[in-house]
Amino acid sequence: MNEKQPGVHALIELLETIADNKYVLGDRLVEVGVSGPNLEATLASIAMAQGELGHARLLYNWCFDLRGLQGKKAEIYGQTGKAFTEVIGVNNWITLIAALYTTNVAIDIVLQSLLESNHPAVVSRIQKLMREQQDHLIYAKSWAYELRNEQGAIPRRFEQALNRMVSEVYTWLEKVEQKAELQASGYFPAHVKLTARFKEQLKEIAAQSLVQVK
Amino acid sequence: MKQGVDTQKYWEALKEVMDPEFPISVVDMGLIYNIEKNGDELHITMTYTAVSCACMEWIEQDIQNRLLQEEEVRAVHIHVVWDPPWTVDRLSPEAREKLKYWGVSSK
Repeated sequence: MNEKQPGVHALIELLETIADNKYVLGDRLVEVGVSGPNLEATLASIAMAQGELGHARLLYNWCFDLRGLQGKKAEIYGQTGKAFTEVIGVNNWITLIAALYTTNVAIDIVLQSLLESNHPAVVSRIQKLMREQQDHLIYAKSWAYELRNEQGAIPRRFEQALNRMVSEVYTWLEKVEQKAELQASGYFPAHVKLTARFKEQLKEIAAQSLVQVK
Repeated sequence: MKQGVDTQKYWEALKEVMDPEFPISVVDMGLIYNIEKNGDELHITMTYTAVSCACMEWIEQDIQNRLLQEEEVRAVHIHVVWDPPWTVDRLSPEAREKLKYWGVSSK
């Protein structure tokens, strides 16, 4: 058995989790986004759906390569079962923004940490994706601000959605952070701090005081 | 972009393959990074403007179809890379002029 295999298996699992969430988010951005609060929000949502699905395709294809599959890439008909429950459950604009914001913040932290490891096989694969993802983050953050400062029940409902989302994402980051094989194989720098960075990022929308991060 | 003498004709051929969204060739779009000829096989290294490009298979099929029209070419292998990432800096002056004509910024 190749000595790098445990690291490669862990990397595939990590990439598939990211891809699955992007795949489902792409679907939700269309299903829910088409009934967005205004025309601009809807158009942006549909455009981002294409982006998320494209990112998912790139990551799934990378996983095929890591598994040593040759030839024409397989068609992708669904996620592999690793998408977050809260992302799958997105059914309105509030839960969509909570999911889009939280998931993409976490994914960005993970990918940024992969980049920091300077692993040649990784850098060339995700640089472009990360550039494109920045637009999604700006959009999600702006909407998160707006929902937090809305009138009536919306801020409270958004807070509840964010709480559920953050809790699930935080648990995932904790597990990823503890995967020694990812660091041993050089995919992550030693002592990578995903959860600390996640908590720091949540301050951007002043969410830390709202959400129940462990 | 590498453009050896022996591959020049293939670069010219690909100038006939248009991006489906704009009447600009894949060469002028700056999507083609390299062409290598190995016997009767061509190896194309290319990228796309976005990871989420919805026209990837369409463009790749157009590239294959055009290059396979060359008598001596038996197979075309396309390798998609994302590094270096595409930016508008890769547009040719001709592409910029066309985009300007259509009212699209290339900055």
